[in-house]
Amino acid sequence: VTSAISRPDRTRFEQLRPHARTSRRIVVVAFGLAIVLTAVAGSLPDAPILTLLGILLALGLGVVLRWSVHSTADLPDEQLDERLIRERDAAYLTAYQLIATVVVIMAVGLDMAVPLLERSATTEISDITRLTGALLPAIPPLALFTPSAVLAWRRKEV
Amino acid sequence: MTTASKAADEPIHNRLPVLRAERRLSRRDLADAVGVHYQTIGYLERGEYSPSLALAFRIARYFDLPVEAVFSDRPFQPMSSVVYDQRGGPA
Repeated sequence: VTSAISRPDRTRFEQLRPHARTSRRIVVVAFGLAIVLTAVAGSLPDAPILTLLGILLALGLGVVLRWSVHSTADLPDEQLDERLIRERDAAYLTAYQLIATVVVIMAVGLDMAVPLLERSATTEISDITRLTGALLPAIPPLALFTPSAVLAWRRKEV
Repeated sequence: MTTASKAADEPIHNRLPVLRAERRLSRRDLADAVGVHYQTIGYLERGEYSPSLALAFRIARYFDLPVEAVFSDRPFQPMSSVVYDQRGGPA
């Protein structure tokens, strides 16, 4: 077990790391809201700055989530003990299921929304393109940090 | 099923708190000796995590005890009552 994991109280950014379970869960909720903000902002016309802000916020909160679980989600087996490996693997399974659910909901939503938009007389092609493109910026932070978010949500201790 | 709920369904009982107290070991000391994260010792002591066979043997070897003296699938009797029964009365 590496010193980074066995001595978690000696990380460089200790002050920024959420210690209590409640504060970790607040960061997880904020991360989820940032993802939603990114998707909504992406669907709005002429809101690139808000979209960028949403992406940056989601990435920033994702980094805080990684700190909060000592990057457990990203470390190889050699640097974890058997309990942490089991926790990490369970978190990855849940994260995979969550991401798959979100992506399927997005795909089904688009599949239903696009024909409706096409039938509308006032809809332009750019509306459909924008709606499709809106969901894409939300995917990378979701894929990158959901395992850490699951771990942060579940973990009882520091 | 999560690790915690599985552990709750099939608990492995242990005497780690007593053994640590007898030897005045901190969780960190024991964790470093057997090569796990210090919180894992806490999880074991609270019955929230069942160790692998390899870890159970490492811990037992560290205390120089047979594995069944440290871990059991049945609740342990309090150490005081075990000692009292063996001596047939108070010391």
